[in-house]
Amino acid sequence: MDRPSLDEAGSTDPQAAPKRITRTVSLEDLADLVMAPPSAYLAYVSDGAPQAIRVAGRLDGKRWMVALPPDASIPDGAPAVLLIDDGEFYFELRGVRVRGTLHETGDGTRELVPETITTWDYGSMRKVAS
Amino acid sequence: MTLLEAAAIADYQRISEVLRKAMIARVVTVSAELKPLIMPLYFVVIDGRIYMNNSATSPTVRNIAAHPHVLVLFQIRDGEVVRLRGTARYLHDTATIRKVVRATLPKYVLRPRALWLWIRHLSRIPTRSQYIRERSGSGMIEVTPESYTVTSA
Repeated sequence: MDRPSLDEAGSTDPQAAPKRITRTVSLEDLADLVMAPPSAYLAYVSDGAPQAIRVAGRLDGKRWMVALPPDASIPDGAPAVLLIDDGEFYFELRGVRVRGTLHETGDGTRELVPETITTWDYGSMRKVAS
Repeated sequence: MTLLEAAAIADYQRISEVLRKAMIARVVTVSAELKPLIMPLYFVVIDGRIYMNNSATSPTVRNIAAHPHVLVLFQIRDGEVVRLRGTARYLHDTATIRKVVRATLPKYVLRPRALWLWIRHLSRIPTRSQYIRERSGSGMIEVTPESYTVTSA
């Protein structure tokens, strides 16, 4: 009979499985921030150069809604990243970054259709199983 | 003094104030595939250049290697936004890292609120140390400014 494979720590005990550190939290954990953000920025690319503007952006149900300033000109379907973050010192830093494409909704706002969503809360940093 | 010179000095004073008071830089970069990225980072200003600690494997550092022209936003809460355009490079020599860490400590660690948060999260300090060890190849993003603009929030 083959010996059982050992994990990196040299143990078969799941309780002793290797751990890594994460600062990722759920969107529910950031509910107060994503539903009424103190500030939000939208980054996009224009003529090959990085651009960013302050926007009114928030999570509305499961949709990421963005109200652009009147003078902003971003084509429909453009790749964009919404950043909502808060805090100044280490253990109070938290936020969410939504990468996706920006689409007209017909009512003057845009919807950022997400491809990836990254969250962080340094005050919730903890060990998780690898 | 001409009006233009006076305006330039007024802008310089506003920019200096925002750079002195702002705690977070939001760095906007472009990937090799022309996709945008925005990342909030701690920063310090040394000899007119902006320095930000970041892992060698971070997407921002990868983007800088592909497109070194960056946009950096600085904002005081509910205040004006300073937009800096410049050229970035990634440095990981010991002298630069030491210089930036020395400038970082009084800004982000040796402050009453920062120290209070460290005490409050004392049990998380070993976890934080492991988190930093897991991030391979730490270094510094250096941005040499080419232009500044100030916009109201």
